[in-house]
Amino acid sequence: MFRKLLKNDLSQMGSRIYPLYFIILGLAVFAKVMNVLSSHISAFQIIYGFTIMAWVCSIIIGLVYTFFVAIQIFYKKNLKDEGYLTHTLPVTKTSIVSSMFITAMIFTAISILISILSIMIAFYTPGIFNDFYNSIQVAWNSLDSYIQHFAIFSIIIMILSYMQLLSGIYCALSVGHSFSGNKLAYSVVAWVIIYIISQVLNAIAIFVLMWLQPESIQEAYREEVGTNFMYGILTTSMITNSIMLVGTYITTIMMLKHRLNLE
Amino acid sequence: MEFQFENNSPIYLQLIQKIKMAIASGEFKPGEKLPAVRELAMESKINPNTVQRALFQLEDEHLIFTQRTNGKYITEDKQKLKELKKELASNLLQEFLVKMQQLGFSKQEILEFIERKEK
Amino acid sequence: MSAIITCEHLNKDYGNKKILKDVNVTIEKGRIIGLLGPNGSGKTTLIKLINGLLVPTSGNVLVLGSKPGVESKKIISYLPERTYLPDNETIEQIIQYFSDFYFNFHVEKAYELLEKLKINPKDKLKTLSKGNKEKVQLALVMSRDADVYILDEPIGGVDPVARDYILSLILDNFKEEATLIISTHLIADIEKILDEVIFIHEGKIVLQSSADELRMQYKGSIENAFKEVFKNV
Repeated sequence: MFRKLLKNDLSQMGSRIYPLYFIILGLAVFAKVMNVLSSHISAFQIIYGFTIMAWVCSIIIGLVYTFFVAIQIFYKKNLKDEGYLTHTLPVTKTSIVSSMFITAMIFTAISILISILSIMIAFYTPGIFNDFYNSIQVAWNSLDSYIQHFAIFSIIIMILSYMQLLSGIYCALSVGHSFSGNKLAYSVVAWVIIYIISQVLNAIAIFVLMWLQPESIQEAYREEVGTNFMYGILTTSMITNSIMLVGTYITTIMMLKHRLNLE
Repeated sequence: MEFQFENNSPIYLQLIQKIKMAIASGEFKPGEKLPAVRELAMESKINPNTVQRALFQLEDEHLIFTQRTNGKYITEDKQKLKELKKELASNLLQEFLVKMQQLGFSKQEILEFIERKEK
Repeated sequence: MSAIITCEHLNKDYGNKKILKDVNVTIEKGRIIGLLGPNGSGKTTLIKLINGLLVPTSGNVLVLGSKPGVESKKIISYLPERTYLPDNETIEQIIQYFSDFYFNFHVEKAYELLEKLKINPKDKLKTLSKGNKEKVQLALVMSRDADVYILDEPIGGVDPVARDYILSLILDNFKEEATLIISTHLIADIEKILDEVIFIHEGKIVLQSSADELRMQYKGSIENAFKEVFKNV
């Protein structure tokens, strides 16, 4: 059942997103072509400039659009008329939410990859892929191991933050919808409350960190970027993000299970 | 076999009457197999349970019988059929007389009226 | 004599507004039941509670003894009173969707019904008229071999010619031992097929009776009985 949900959600979101990928990659190709032409005919310089601008915009808009579509699909399928279809399927609310969430993550990843791919296309020179790979490898190996750790932690935190953001919005929408009256207003209130909770959680985490690791404070006080401090902060950040992610995720499912309100 | 029904009296009673008429007039022949409950219901656009109820009552009155190899059949009992005709005719007559009396006809006038009509 | 759906002291509020008030109702298997009441009487709300699209404010709604959930949704085929299918999909895609999730959905039957209704399965839903969209929804619901069919205003927005046709479609296609619940305010059109009627008014169950008994009691049609009963409420 879950696989069927996933298949359907992927194809539904896909049909909304694929045109975007065409545009991004298309503009990248066009930019490259303009680049080549402009080295022979100076008139094309201007077109090249505009194309590059358009392409950059398309990437930024594309990433925002992906996020927006993820939220819109969640809202439409769960809390509007289509909810009559979604919530009379013989599947658990957990599968419904998880399928949409995973779909959103997959397409976010694909959007990012397509954007990177388009960069390489726009500035394509033979061997660019190898050069890119090699230069990353060299850069990586030149880093101290603890900085490598920080980099990895930071990437994980960015991913967790994004997941938490999306899950938080799902949660706020579900909570807001369970009330009668102006559901959107209640959703905003719910969102604010979630934000406050996450900030409180962060503050608590910092206090716990200070209590467990007094050396961190001394390092910070001396304005040294101590490795202990960094490890501490990054770990705490991962933990609080994870707690918020899990908390909002479970709350979303509970709301749909016990407080569904398709008026 | 499609029957038309009114909303304003119990459907099962209407169905009983219609089947009785069909039997008495020979539309359903003695010994003939009745259509299945579901078929009767679907063709006349009424509830299958209503059809069941009507058929049970008809069976109670021995106008139809069930054979073990499924299916209900019209009785072949000639006596029963004669009685049915009499029963239906008597009801019709009763209705007719009541209405004619409401119009103000006396019994004598009714008889004369019938004779004139038949000429 | 087995109950398939029961409501016990069921109350539903939207904010301050009380929509259902202390509803106690038992629905037996295998019956065709008319849920009759004026617009706004709470029919749709009751139906949504049975389908798990709403949760009670207090009290219980139970399908085969349990709260509405995955198991009840397997056996209930529900036709909402609104168009709810994704507009951008073709009918074929939606048939595939239904067949993916409902084990008792018959694809061939769906195509058969659509052919009878003269609707092209390759069309996108958004290109259909409202009447045709409703027919598609009905065809999909009746193509399932369900234990309970719940139809919310299946003939509401439809012209009188189509009404008869839709009623035949319903009668011809529902599984024999299944329970059928039809909610409508157009009583005269459907009363012949009903086993039982439930009258609902302003969120309260006013009566529940066998159709023919009610006709005998009020010496007339169900519609007349309805008018009589609601005159005094």
